[in-house]
Amino acid sequence: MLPAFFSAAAGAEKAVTRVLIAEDEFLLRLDAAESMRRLGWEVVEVSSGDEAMELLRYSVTFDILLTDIDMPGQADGLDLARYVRSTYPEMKIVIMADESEAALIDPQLLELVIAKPIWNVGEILAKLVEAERNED
Amino acid sequence: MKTDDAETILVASSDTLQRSMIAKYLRECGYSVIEATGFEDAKIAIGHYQVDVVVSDTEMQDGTGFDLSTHIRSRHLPIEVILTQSLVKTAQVAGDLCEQGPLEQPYHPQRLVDEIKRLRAFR
Repeated sequence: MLPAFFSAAAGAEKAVTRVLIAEDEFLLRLDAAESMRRLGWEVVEVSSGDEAMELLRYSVTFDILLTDIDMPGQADGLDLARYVRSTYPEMKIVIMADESEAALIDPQLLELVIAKPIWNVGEILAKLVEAERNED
Repeated sequence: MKTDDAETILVASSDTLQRSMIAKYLRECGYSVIEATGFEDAKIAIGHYQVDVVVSDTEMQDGTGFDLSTHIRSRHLPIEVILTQSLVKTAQVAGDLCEQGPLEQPYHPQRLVDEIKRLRAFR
């Protein structure tokens, strides 16, 4: 059986929550990814908005985009969020930002802002997913 | 031979699709896997974590696998470094590691190659 997050692109049944994390700070990204893998989620890591958009163009889809706001390359976190919102409107968008950055973000662009630095991303996102399920 | 020890493998590649799938495959074989998107990430990983094996692309966006190998050797770290130059070779390396890994191989590594090629054809 192939990894669920890629098989799903071919129409296979979705098995677990799939997250795309875009964060250029390696240790923050690794910690966040591991905290979500411990929940049994599928996590794909990229270090820039450009990489994330490249991956999304392969028609690989995710349930949640978790992105830093400030990243190197042509597309920052807001560009990535706009792309995802317009192309994959069903994806939940969570942006990691500091307080001053968070104040400038259009609330229509995302489901949640979490303040950096943060070390318990998995726990926070698990609550988000649980809340979504309860609404359904 | 299967063992209970989950070794840590660092997968260093700037190719997101390939890196993610190889890393996922190795996790399914029971390894602890760290993903580095390039040379600088790989250096940080080696400085912060006990890594047993590095599987690195020869060319990455911010350095080469040879640079990474030199970095590891200069610090006399007991890390096996495997440099790969193509998707097929990387999948073969992952398959070989999987054969030696703590868990049974979930599927043949050629399927990784086929799936990555299929996804690339989407563009």
